[in-house]
Amino acid sequence: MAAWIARAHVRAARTDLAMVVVFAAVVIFTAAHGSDFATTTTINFGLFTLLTASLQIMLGFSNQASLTQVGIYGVGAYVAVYVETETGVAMPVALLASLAAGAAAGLLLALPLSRLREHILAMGTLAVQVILSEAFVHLTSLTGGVNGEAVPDALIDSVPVMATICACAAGVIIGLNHFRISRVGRRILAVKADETMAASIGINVRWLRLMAVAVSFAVAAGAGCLFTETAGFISPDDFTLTSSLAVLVAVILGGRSVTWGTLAGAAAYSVLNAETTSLPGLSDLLLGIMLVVVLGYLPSGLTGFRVPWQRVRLPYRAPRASGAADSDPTPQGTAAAAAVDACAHKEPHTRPRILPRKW
Amino acid sequence: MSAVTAVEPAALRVAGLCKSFGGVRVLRDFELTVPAQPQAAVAILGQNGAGKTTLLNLITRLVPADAGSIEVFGHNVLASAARHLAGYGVARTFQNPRLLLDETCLSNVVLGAQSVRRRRDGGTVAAMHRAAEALERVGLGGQTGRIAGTLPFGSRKLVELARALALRPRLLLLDEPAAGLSDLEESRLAEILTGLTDAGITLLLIEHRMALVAATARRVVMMDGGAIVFDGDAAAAIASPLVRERYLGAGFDQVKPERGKLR
Amino acid sequence: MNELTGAVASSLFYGTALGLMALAFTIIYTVSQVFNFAVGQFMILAALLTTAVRFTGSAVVNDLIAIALVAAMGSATYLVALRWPERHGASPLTLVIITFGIGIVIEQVAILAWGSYPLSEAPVLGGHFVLNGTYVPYQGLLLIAAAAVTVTGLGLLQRHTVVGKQLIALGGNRATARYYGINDRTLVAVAWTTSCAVLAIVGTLYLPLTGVAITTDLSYGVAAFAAAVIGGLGNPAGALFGGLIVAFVTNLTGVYVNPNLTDLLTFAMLFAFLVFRPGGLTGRSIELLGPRA
Repeated sequence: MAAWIARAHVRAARTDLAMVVVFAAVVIFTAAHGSDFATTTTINFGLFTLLTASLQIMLGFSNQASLTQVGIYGVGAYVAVYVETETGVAMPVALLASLAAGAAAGLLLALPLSRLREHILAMGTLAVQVILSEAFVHLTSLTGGVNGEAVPDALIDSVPVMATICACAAGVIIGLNHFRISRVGRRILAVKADETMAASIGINVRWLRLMAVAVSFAVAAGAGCLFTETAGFISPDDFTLTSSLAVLVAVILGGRSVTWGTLAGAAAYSVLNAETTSLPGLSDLLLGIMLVVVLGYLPSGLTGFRVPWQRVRLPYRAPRASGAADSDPTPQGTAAAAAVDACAHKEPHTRPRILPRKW
Repeated sequence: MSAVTAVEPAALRVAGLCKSFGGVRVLRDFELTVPAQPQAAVAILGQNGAGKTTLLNLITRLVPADAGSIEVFGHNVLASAARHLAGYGVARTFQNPRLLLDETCLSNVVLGAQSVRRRRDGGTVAAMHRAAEALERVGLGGQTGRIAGTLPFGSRKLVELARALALRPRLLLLDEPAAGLSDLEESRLAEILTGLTDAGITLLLIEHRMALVAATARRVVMMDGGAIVFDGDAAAAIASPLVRERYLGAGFDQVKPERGKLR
Repeated sequence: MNELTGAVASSLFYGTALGLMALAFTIIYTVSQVFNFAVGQFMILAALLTTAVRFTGSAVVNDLIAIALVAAMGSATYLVALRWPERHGASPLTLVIITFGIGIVIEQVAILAWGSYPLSEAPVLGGHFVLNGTYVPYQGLLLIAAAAVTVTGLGLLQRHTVVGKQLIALGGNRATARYYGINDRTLVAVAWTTSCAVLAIVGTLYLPLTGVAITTDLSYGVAAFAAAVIGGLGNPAGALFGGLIVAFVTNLTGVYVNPNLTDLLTFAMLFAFLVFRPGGLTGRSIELLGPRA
């Protein structure tokens, strides 16, 4: 039985491997291409994937829409710059500081917003994003105001940094993949499916939602720290509400699969964005059109037909009486095991029809 | 009753419970005590709107109470959150089963089995065993791998019952467990429920099907206008003029109570 | 004394404008649970239509044409971008995000058409009078008068016409209203038309006071939302009240404390109300609160 559990994670590892291959291919191809433009595009793609993954934790796992991701990204960036300029520590330490700042911000903000749901909650996060934008502009002693701040020892357009960012992005998606089939992951997905039912079987709904926000914000802030490594310079214009809307579009465009959906949504948006950065108005127009078209007419996104969570399914082998370390010796145990075992030879399940779903 | 059993806290003690929705008073000074020993099934009857499901929602803290007190095995429920009830040994089912329809039956029940942690519990493995056992108990042992969405309504109710059992409750609250079930399913349910009381679980069931009530419940309580108007056993309930007038109908005479069987 | 009069006057005008924007916001919210965050862009579009496109020589006629056009655009927007998703089960959150998209699209198209530099103003009523040493433009008074007329007119329409009463019914319970034969989709389009007409009134009368330019920020919508929430979502009188409160608090703070704080204060007030009193000052509760568990 324990082997069965291990097998579920091993099965998930197929996706992990695929993710690693995809990201490695991207990195190698970009490095081979050699141009700065390619490196910058890939860096932006990697960072955007991290942001999309962070929103996926809140929205895809916990059904809490958030328009704050890029604001927290900014918090992580400013914290990293502050820590590096004040104390001169190396990047990994600044990264830890950013992660901690993100998690703290998550707990701080999720608590007052914890009773809100659905679009009222989203509006609460909207308020936070615009407050952060204002704070970035006006708290000049900490953030340098509208003029922004220079980043010490930034490595712009460097291939190792690009590789690191892509590795982090792949790592976070792999983490999401295994979280999805873990005990906590399945509980949080149960909360997403039916909150009342989850509370009635003893699941601590409030704690899970809080933790989702804290982890999500930590990832976004960490991404902000990585961003500072690649940009010589950060300013409030990098962290606006419009960008948060872009992250939301990417998650929804990605669809229900938390691994491939994150990648697909981030990739699709990054590609379209890269094509239009030449004319600044055009990328905003593209965002607006995507918001209307994707959310309105393509709600299932690119991976709409995947069921997001792992099924606990048969066949699994009941432990044999001789020698199995985790065999259950009670009569009910073996009877249950035998009954379950008998089912192992039947067809495991019938594929459910795709039930109509609200989005 | 000896003095020793008198000391054990009641399975359920409700006193002075009041609840209004807007201007509508659903429960007024409601009182009910269900002793922990001997474990028995208590059926709650009443017209629609009498407050039965509201009572269950108040006990399980899905709805806040206006006033009063609720105690479950000595724990003050009104001071707790919904998630604590499972730890006190209380589980419930819903009138319309709330399952994860994209997952297998075993998966749904494991969610319940993993929720309440006791000492000497194994990890996920032992939880899966408990889940399989619970499904076996409700007669779905052969369906553990089936996706819940493909099951007929009656079977879904049984899966929800199995999930409630996987929480290892001492008090089980059932909201119309027989609604939507065929006759065959209903008689199997009667056997399952009497098996549960024999195994030591106190049942509180809201039910309209008198056959099931008579076969399963040792005590029948009728709610009307937010308070209890009758409290006795099943035979007395069927014979009572008050119950006949307010709920059953004067011409009701189909059921002869016989424990464990429907007809 | 000068400063106070000036601050009060500008707060009054801004508050009226914000109150009307919040009213437009509320009209759509009460019938369809959607927050239209494109309010700012519709408003600016109306202003741009009068300043950049002079249809006739008369400013008043220009304004009326702009109002009609923007109102039509409002219902067109609903029909194109929101009606199909609504019918196919989109949640209110999705619809709200779509309105953000609509706002961005309008904004970018306007920039492509007219550029992002401020355009010259063409106030309907030129001139000003002097009160306590402050210049008080007549246009501002016209704005207040127009607001009063609009609000009274809408209230009368709502109470005394069939369409108005149907809108009230729709706001109460949409599914039930359908069973009574109320054509909800047409009525929601009517609500959008009315809402955008109100926004166009604000755009043509208020924006020339402050300068007309497209800016790439969505804060008008957020400010209108803040005013609607603070006054009480779903309550038209509350919307106006909320607008005045937000305007006075933020403007006076801006004048006497620190001019950089106005936007921040608006958003902070919004956040505080969402957290502590989502029903706003009039205290209506919002259905979308989770359980205490």
